[in-house]
Amino acid sequence: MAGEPRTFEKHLEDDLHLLLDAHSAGTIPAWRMPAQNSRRVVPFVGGAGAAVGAKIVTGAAIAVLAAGATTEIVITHSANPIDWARNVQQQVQASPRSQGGPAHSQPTSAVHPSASSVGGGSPAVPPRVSPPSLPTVTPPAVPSVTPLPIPSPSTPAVP
Amino acid sequence: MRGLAGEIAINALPEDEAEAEPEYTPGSVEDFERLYRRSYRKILVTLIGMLGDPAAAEDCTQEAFFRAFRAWSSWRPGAPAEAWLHRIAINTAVSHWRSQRLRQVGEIIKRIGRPAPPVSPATIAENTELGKALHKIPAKQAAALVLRHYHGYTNREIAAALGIPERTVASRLAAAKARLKVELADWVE
Repeated sequence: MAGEPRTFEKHLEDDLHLLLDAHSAGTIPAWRMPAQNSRRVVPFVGGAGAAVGAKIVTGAAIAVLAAGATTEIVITHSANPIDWARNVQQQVQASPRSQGGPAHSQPTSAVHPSASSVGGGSPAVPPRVSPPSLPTVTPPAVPSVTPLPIPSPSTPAVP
Repeated sequence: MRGLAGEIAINALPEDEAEAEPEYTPGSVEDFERLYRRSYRKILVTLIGMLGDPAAAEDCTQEAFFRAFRAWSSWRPGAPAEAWLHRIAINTAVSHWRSQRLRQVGEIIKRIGRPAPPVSPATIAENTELGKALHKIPAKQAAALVLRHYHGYTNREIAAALGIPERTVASRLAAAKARLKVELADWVE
């Protein structure tokens, strides 16, 4: 039907005017200029950003812990943390330095420059410093104490 | 005039401002006030047609003008100012319409089994057949209908205002009319 769209559109336009004309004649409210710097600041701390940040930090920490635990399990073939500690102790004891062997690299002292000047023109290699061995301390013998005689009441008091 | 500093109340457009769109200077407060006075009612009516609620439409219109004012210094003088405002206002109203729809869904879920609350007298646009039908179609389609069949813009002008292809405007109008024909079956008979 050719006339139907025109009828519908005419009806639509008429009803739109009936519906909206009343509002197009209303009072225009006063224009209140927005204050300067009135942009809304979305707080990052305490909002969704903080929640996401906390999740990221927690996830990273869990990932690091899991990686460390996996490494220890692979090395020690045990899931017991006591075994991991024992393994670390063994490795430390087996290291060349703890056995008194030659070290691969010696750190140079930046704090005490005089230490590197020992030996004239020789390269600045500080002397190896071994921790002094703790002296064995023998506790002194406890002297035998003879109890003093209890003074009798007839004895005059010492002034 | 209301007498408050920084506020102007206007009840009617001056005759010289009812003609062709004047030239504006971006960033000029005086020019923005002229644009406000000139286009406030058009924007409000478009948003009432979209939202069906005059109070919500007024809120969205004010919000749209605030947004426009913030961007006023970046407005390009070559573009029609009213079309630019319409785009901002329609985007504001679409956001409002979406949040309203979400809220309605939440309220429907909350009051399952209870009677529906009475219709607010503020939503007078819902008290007519066309108002109810407009409220049922998507906000963007309703905006296209009001711009085309109330304000009388061409499809090309609507496309330029909304920043969408002309074909999209035509398809939105066709979809809106098809939906309205179903909702308002009495008209066609």
